[in-house]
Amino acid sequence: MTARNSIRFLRRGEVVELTAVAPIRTVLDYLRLEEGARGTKEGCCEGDCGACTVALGSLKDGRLVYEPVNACILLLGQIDGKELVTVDDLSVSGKLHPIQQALVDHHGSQCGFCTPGFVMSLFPLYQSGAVANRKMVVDQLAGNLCRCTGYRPIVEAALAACTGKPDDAWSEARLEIAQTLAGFDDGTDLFIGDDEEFFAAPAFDEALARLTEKHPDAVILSGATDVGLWITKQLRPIRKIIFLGRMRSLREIVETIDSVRIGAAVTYAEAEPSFAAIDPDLAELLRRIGSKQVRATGTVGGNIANGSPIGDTPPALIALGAGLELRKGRQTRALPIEDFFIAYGKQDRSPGEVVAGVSIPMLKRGEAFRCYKITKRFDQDISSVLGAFKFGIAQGRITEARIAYGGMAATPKRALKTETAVKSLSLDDPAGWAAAADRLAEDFQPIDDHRASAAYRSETARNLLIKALTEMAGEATRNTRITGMREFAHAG
Amino acid sequence: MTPVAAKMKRGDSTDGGAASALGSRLSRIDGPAKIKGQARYGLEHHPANMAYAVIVQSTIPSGHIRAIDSKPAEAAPGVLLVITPDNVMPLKPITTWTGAPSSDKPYLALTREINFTGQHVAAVIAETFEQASEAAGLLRIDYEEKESIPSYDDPKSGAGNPLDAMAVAWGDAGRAFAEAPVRIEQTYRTPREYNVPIEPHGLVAEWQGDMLTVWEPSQWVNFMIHNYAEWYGLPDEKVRLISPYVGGGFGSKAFALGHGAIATMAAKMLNRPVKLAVTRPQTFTAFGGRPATRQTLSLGATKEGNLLSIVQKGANETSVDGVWVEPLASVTALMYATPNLSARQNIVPVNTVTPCALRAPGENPSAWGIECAIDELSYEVGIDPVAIRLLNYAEEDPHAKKPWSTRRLREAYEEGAKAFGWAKRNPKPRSMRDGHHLIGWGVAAGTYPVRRTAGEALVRIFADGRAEVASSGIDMGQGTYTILAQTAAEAIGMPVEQIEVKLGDSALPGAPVAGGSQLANLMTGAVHKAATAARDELIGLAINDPKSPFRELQANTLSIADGVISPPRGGESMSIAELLRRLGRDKIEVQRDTLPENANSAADKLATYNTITRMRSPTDGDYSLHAWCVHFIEVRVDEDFGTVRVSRVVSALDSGRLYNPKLAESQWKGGIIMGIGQALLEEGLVDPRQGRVINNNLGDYLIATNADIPDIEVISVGVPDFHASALGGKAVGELGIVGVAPAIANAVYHATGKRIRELPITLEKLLGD
Repeated sequence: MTARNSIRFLRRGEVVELTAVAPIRTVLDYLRLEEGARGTKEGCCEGDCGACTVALGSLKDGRLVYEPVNACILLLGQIDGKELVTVDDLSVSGKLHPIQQALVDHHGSQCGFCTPGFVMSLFPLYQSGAVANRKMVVDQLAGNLCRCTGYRPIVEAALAACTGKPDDAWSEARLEIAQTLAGFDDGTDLFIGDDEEFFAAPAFDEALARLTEKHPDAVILSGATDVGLWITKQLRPIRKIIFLGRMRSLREIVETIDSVRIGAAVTYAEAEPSFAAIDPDLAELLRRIGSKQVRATGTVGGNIANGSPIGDTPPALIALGAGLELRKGRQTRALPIEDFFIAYGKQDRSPGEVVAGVSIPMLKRGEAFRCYKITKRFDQDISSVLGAFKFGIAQGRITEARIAYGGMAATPKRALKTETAVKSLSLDDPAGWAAAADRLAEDFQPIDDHRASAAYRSETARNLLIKALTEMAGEATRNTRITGMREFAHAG
Repeated sequence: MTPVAAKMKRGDSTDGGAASALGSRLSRIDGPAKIKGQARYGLEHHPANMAYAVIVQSTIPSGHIRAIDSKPAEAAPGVLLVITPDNVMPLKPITTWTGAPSSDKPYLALTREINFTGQHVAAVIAETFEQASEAAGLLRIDYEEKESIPSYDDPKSGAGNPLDAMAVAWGDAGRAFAEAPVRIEQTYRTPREYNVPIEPHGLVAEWQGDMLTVWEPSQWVNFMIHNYAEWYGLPDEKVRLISPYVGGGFGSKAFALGHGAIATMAAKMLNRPVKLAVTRPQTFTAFGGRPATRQTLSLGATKEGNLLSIVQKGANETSVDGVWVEPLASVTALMYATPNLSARQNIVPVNTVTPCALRAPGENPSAWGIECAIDELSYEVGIDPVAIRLLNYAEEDPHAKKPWSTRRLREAYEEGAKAFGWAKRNPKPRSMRDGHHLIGWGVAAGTYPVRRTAGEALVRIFADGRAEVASSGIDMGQGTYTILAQTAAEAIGMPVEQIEVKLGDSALPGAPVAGGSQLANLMTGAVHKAATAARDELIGLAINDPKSPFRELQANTLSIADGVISPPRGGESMSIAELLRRLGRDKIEVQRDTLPENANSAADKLATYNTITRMRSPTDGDYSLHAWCVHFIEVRVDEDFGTVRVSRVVSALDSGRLYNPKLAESQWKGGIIMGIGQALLEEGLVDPRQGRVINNNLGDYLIATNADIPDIEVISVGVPDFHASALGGKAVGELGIVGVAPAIANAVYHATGKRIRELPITLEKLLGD
């Protein structure tokens, strides 16, 4: 089968087909420089501020879903098969969109520069048909920085506009849009460019194998929430990109009675229900990763594959005992996820090898899980320390323990000595817990950096372990969660 | 007999009046354009044939450039020009914003001498941004590094230079402190903080002959064109700066900066338009934010808590090649009655970009010190933190010894405390809990002076029934467009929808800086004067013009409301549009300024709009003019991890009359959330070896997100203050942030018993002993 040599997306009700697409062209540059649609703003060019937020419509299990994304670090090739909606499109024949009208009425804009991003973060919430509550809105807007308004008027506007019944040009055209997007799904491999410079988005295993064998130097692109910064911030000369987002086999979530397998190209947002099914803590952790924009394109596989010492999912997956599946050409291999992280910046992955998926065992009877993310800023901040704990408990004693931390070493790492010390401890033995927690000093020698001092990391790691054990010993409770202000005081 | 309380007039919509009248909660009139993405900001203007400039910054903190090899960059595809210290165009010295000459030497935007990491050292201009960025990486710069002083915590920095002229003293503060029965002595510190407007800095520059046009976000159009004009030896009329929308500034967009010089000279050298967008990381050194400050405060008091003495020794960082003073005594010497006070301040030069204004420069760190110290004193003598503040209430300006024009600070304490529920507070630290969290309630006051400069406005009433207000003054979100429309509508008697406001263009009548929280007051004054004159002219025509139908009535007065002219005792009314048509006039046009009548020459106007020399001090005149506020704040602390979340804010503020409460409240809240960020998150982290700002991006320089911000209740306790301004307003924009950080630190102390005297209050400062 020959590959398609163009990308197609839906824009303002029309199909746009582009054959000449530079591999590193961002959606933001496409909009502002090629379309001349300058409503979408550039505030930081690294996915931190959200001023460039646009909405992408796509079919998920046949249903039309809109998600906010940061256009500054999203590559144009990634929107193949989707609908692109920007702030310039919303008011139809001079009439403000309900979200826009609510923002005007509630004084949701001051200097106005962040405003288009807020509008487009709220657009998907509006389309979802959800009756918005404060918690939802706060979560929806976590990726949008505003330096003027104090946020509150924006939240009020969202609550006023998102009342559960979308009534706009998009809700009217839902069926039509869904049909167009379904028509895009031709199942072909996509390749734009030549052997020296290309954007490839294979759909099939065979094509991916061929590409990675032929171009082991190509950048494997998943959500671009990190690779995007290689382009816009580090100015790396990337000429070959293999995008996994159209790979059918890597987009699957397979749930069985005792495990969940998440394909490497599954986004955080898509993985959230499955993570929640394993444990609510895991879903809450996912909710604290980046922002809605980041989770709409970022993937669990990407978070693992780039091997950051402060990636948030790896410690949790290590504690859960997850297994990683890697694929090179036609060969696959499996390994425990903790073995993937060798040293700082070094993973057990050879050129051309691709993380294919992660299998996470479900918690068994008598097993419990906790994980906690500690940050300076509640939302959209990199962890100072992240602790994840899985305990097997029988007759009031810890029978099994898997403990892993992020931010405590050059890689996400298990606390093996501490695990041994915790095993067989009674849940009525706080003195024993404290002694076990002392072993953390043997497992980790954290460093000082601007996110936290070594002393803070050590003490926090210890307190997290004690907290987890305290929660094991008490009744099943969730009221000691480490939460943001709104969640515990002003939600609902 | 109980006296019947007279209804208090606040000068706002609660007094009655039209829904759009001055004082009403009209929604911002520029809102729809912004929300549709149609508002065009400076950098979005793309003239034909535009080239792109990219700046290269120094990687060493101090030393000089031995050589720059720009050949590989020049040879790169698309490159049009590389500007280095070797070929930089010398520009003429300027008159600074203080009215003093900058130097007698030419201004060089790029030099071989390096004074800080991140100093501009070169620029590459190419056909595309990507080509310019690529070529910028090809410059080979050979540095010779000298020893540097990365921050004032480095012992090499020494004590710095004393600012004797800034010293404040009365009584014998040293002795009074030494003899005081109760003494508090502590040092309070704030880190470098950055403005980080969401719209980054930059400009598009285009020359047509000797005429320069600049599209650039600006808080001070007139000063910036004057600066550009002086650089190139041109009269001001030869420069036009267009800045209709500004994506936030917070003090950082008032001056023409190095990148402005580079872009304009590149455009001149290439004879084509040039765009220069400063990258987000570069914004951390392309201009300065608030400098790091430290102050040691010694408070002497009686056992009952009456202040006997305040001694302040302060310092702020400045650069080795520039002076920035962050006045640390501005609140210290104003807030409380004390018989003795001494305040001295040094500035300490270090290898950094020269710091600059960030929301409430001076008042902000000054309040941080005194409002923490007075709180410490309250615990020392065992008095409620609100009570000790009222005990030491200054009945007049203790420094200038003048009466306050208005100071509704008592009312602020009263109404704020009531709304917050302060009376229910258990005074003991660590006494309040909610489940796992320690709860703390803290209070702190703030103030910001009323600054007064004259302004000017043009008002036109057109035959189609519309009117127009024009000024070079700007709107960076405060709401200038809206309140000026309201002012003109009210003064003329027209519907506000019929008023168009034009701002942010140097071709329009001049205005001083949108800074010091002065613009709303001075521009409403100027617009009110011009619009009233236009209305008077209209009525004069209606009464006197032979073609006017009102002439026969021989009325000596007419009223105008809702765009309709009516005679005093009934009779036929007529719209303004209809009258102008009948008179055969296409418009009425009136320009008025608020300069003193004996000092309104062209030179006076230049000095008024292009410098701060005509800005009147808050104590110039019979009264001391200030806005006031009190913040009541609740925090929740998880002691296991040191996490602090602000859970409730009630602030009561006295900004005098509010021209539009919806806009003013939003300004206050915006200041408060910036204060929350300042208290808990914001901190420029400086690499002690290279003086580099490590966290020079929005992922690591943490500003508050939505989830960090609780419900904020703001209460206006102000009354119109006509000593302060023509229409009764006082300062708004910079008031809200002042006092927020100390209120949070005081709340954290109440929650935990830990006194944090160094901002920000991060996790690790609360963990351990």
